[in-house]
Amino acid sequence: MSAISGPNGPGGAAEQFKQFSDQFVEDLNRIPGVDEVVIKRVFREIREAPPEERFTDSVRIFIEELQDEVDDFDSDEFDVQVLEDLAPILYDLFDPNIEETEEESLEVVLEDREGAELALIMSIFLEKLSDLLASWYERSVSNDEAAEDLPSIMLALNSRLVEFQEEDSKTLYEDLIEDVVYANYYLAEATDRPTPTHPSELSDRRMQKQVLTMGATKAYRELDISLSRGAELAGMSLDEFEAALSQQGIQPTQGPDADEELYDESEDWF
Amino acid sequence: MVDSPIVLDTGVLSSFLVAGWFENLDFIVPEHDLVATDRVWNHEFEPHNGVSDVPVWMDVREPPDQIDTDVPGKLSNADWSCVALAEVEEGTVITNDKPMKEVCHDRDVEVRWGTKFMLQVFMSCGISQDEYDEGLPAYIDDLYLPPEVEEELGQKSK
Repeated sequence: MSAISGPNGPGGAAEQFKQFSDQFVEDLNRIPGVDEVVIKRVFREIREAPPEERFTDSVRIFIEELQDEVDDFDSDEFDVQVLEDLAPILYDLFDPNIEETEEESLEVVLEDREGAELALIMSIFLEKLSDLLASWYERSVSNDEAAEDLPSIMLALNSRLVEFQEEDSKTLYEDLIEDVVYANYYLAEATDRPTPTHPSELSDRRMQKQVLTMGATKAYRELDISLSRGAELAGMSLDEFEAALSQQGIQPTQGPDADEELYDESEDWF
Repeated sequence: MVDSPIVLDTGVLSSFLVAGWFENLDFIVPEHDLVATDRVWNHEFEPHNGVSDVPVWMDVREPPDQIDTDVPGKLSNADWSCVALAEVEEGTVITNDKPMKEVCHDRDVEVRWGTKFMLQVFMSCGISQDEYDEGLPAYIDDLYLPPEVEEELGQKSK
């Protein structure tokens, strides 16, 4: 069978991500004191840093760039608590929109086979952003000391969103994969969860496989797709995908159900 | 009477194989055509299960070219090939996958649970009691059945 045709999609995951990116920049502009032009320039600098630096040291880059861009800004007097205090504001502002776009991206998996892979990656990217915001919010309202780790991850991910709003990226697919893998690692580290293999030890292919597996297990958990479809999305055999689901505590949806009659001797099958 | 051809998906083929009942499937032939699609056999089943030759009692067929659906991403290419073949040839899909069964229902394609199919083969003497007892643990281990269903399977005898 060479093709499965479906309805014309709503423009695909890329279009949704662009809309989300536009909304994100619009929401940023609503924060008092934010100058859109300066912020975009700062995010560009963050984006151009190597991934290790981007996900661990973006606060420093952010502060240094603001020092250059804003006349009365003194980096020596900058206290990371200022960023920490922003966490609840950013959470309330962005999280509802993130969740909505995350769900819409995932729905593309059902409707558009060609765009499914990119949709999965975008959905996972947004899931990491949402996890990050939630973790940062929780820390900000607790008595835990402010630190640069979560804001750095936040800035790294946001720099990708702003890039998408500015231009048509030719390497979006690869960039999103790298961002998800790095965010996944450093978010686990910052929140004292078991860390996966460090991204620097992973090949591009391994990173892609990690992200597609995360996406496929998420799709299986949240959409009503078949086990074979999940394995297809993850690029795995059925057995491999079942193992991946098991690692996440997800059980395949198989029948018959307990309340069904298993055998009816009056039914003549053969 | 189940409609022929009987179209088996990868999960059903695998579960019969791990239980040691794969060759028992010839019980159904020649009264019924036992079929796997090309997508299922050559892309999903054969590469990962070490069964290199198509059994003489099974037919591997290519389904028609295109299937129209609002949810093309709900099933895999292999799944859709089973649905397409059964739809065109008015056969019956055998599967243990709930989303797959839902799609068959939505498209008015005859469909049966793989485990019910297995029990029918067993109770019709296509699998002996000894073979059933020996293979059942592996069969259950290969699937994700409710405990009540597992318990009922363990109590079956002829």
